[in-house]
Amino acid sequence: MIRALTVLLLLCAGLAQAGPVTVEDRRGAQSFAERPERVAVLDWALAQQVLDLDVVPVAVPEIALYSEWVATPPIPDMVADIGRRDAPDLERLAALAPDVIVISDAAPADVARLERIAPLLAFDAFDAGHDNIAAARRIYLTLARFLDREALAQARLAQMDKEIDRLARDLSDGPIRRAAIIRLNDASTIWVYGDNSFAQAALNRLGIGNALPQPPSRWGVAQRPLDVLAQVETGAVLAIRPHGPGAAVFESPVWRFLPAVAGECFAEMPPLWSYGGILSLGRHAQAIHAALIALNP
Amino acid sequence: MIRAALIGALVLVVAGVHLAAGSDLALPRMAALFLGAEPQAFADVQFTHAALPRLVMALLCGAALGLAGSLFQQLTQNPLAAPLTLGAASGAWLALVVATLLFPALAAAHGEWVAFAGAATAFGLVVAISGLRGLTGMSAVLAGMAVNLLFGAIAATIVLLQSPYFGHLFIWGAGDLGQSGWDKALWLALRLLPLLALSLLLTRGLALLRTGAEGAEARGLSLLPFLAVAAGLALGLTALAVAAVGLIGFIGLVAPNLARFAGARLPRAELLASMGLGAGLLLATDLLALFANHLTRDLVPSSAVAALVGAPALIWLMRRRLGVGDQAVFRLPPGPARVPRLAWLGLMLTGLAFTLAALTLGRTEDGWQALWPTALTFDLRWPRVLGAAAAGLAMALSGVVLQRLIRNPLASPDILGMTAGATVALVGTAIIGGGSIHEVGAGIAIFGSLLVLLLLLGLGRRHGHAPTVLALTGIALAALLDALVKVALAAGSQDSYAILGWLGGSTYRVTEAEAGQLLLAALLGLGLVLVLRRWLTLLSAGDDMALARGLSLRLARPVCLTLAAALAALVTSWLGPVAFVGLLAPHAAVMLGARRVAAQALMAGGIGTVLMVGSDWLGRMALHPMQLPAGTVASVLGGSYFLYLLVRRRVL
Repeated sequence: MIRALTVLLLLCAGLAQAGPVTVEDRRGAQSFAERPERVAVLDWALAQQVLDLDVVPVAVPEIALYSEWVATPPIPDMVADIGRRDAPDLERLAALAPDVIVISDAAPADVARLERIAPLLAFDAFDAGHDNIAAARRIYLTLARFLDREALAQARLAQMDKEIDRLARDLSDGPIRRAAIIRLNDASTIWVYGDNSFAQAALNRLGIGNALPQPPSRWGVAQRPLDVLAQVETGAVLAIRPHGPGAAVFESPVWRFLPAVAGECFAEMPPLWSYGGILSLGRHAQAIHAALIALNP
Repeated sequence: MIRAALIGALVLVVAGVHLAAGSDLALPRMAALFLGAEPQAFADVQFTHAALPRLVMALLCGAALGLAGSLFQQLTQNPLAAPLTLGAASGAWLALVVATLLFPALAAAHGEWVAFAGAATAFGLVVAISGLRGLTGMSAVLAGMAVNLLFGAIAATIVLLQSPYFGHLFIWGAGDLGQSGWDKALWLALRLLPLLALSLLLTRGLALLRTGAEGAEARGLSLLPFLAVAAGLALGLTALAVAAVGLIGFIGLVAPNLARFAGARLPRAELLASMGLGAGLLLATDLLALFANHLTRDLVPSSAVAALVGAPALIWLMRRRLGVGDQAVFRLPPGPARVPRLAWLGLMLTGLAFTLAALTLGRTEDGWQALWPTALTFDLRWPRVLGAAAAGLAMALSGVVLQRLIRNPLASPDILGMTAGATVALVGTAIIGGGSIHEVGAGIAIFGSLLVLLLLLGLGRRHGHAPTVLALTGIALAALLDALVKVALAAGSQDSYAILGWLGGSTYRVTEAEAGQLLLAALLGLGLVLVLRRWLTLLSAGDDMALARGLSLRLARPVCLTLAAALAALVTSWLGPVAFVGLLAPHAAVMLGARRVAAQALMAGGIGTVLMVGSDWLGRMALHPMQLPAGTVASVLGGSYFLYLLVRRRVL
């Protein structure tokens, strides 16, 4: 009986795969004659979203920089590099003959031009006026339905949520209750993550306060002078790698006297993409958890 | 003596306020720390290792830039000479950007020498362009601004291709004084002090120089070695300041002028007063940056504030200093008297060949491909080719009009601030409105460009719109607007990515309709230039000649200026700022023999078209699949060729 049902379900699934699909993007319902095989993504957030669905895109922009700054999930060698994120090479994109182009936060004129190359899905991913993390979750699920990976997506999200809850419980009786998530910019300036960022969302879910709250903004980040870190008196300072020229601060006396640094409450985190897909939330939570545990084993 | 005491007291007061703004400590605690108390809390260390070094850094850099400016001005007898206006500062900056990305170890260990080499190269170019004699006048400043434009374009391309976002290089390129220890301040002090001492040994030579080159030599000054040492010192001071904190403009220009204004007459007094005033000025502007940082979400770089204060100061100084009777006559660069037939034919064939190549020659993953494009590829390519061609034509025409009007073969919409006006209007609207820079629209750009124009006209009225005053006001406005863009970009975090791409001047986002409109506008502009050719001829012959022939200057000047500004603004709104085409094309046209207005407009338009179409194609192919903006490629190509020509022929 169960076997028969499974077969039936699989058949239905197979039928669904062959038939037309309708998917909702920012412009409304978009219809596709069949499920796409070749997906081209035009930014790193979507590259993460698609790779996190175990779909290998045919094209991603600026792959070398992605490997350095985004790192996970890695991009397989066969993916074509289509150049700059703000100006991908349209001719190469066309030559790759994608079934669908996925793009976020694009100007309407760009959408119109890209639609000549292939059918297109356009999303609003980052915006000061909405919740970036809720949007990332929506986009992930939409793409999952579209690419026939819904079960996988639900499983991954459930697993991520469960994992974050576990990490939160693990931290719940830890001594560090507040943390500032930053990137080092140069010897005297830093980027601070605040409302509407993955870092802030991960802190919220972990039950850790933001030691340097920032008002919500499009990218959830503000550039501040290094000495704002002095405001972090009872909490950790966690810096996302790579530091680039920001590594120069480690040499400075001001750095050594920062309360968090002097109190051995500073830790580095591996590359995390702060402007990425929804699973970036789990990656942030894991990195923050690991850093806090390392500070207070 | 009293003046020196006054300047000193003023600097002290500003320093006190600067410390109070930069630190949270109370005065007694500051004093205790100053006298050697052990720092205990972070606020203590912040005072001793961030607020104090920032203060010292501002004083040192300000002194270095003020002294460098004074040396440049006394050497050249040109009140507008400065590290910024003679190209030295941007040369140092470009050298450091290149070295930081390509040879990081060298840049970290010997940044000052890298910067010095860059500054010397840029200054060498300016001297080669204007000639030693030209250093005393406008042409040196215009040549310096041309060098600035070229180097800025190269640096912007490097940044565009190298960074996930632009925080670091922006703040650094924009020059910020923030410190997190004494390392840099001590580094700078150790290198600066010998140079300061050496400069004061030059006062006798500088005094002799005021009597004229012959007089100085007659009294036993060996001129060339002296000039070399003094210029080397000024360049060294510039290089040190740039290597320590990045690009900070205007201090070196304003401080010596203020010093003379305050009554410093003798070389020694002028050097010392410039040093003191430079230190005080930079400190005061940095104080404003400190206050601004309390108010804004993102950091405001010190240099942006310096430019926001310095540019108006320059305009004010200029209005006080410059005489009314500026009757410069436009001199065309040398060249044949007429355009040979062959040149017209060659230009047309080149244009056709470039267009054909731009449409058919492409790169794929497998290599080069010369094919008649498919319908889709053709649709992707032709708006870019047409947009590039129209932009080249429009910028060239704008340049032809401006060069005649300002009577200087180095005038162009980018150097005079019209492109910058449009740029600021577009970037400002995009950042304040939160929309995409590509959707702001031509109206706003023309508004910005015309605003600069109105300012130019309003400010120039006292001098009867004398060309020199117009040109200098334009340069100051351009720098002011450039600083505004930098602040906006610094405050824009990730959005700066799209804007930086746009700042290169790219045909990437030109639609079919826009390309068509731009072409129509450019052709209309060509028609107007041809209709107005008598006016332009008379205007370039000098005011007396124009008036004698019955031309109404009050009508002709604003009309021609508006035409030039509108053409530049249209290109800026659709492509982004495109530099150098408006400078190079009219110039090259004259060198080919197009000496009359009509011939020059046609020939320059053709050259501009070819240059832009070629640059657009090269930008698409050179680093495939990375797309370089056509405007940047045109700047680098056109700028290098232009400098080469200028150096070879010394056309000014």
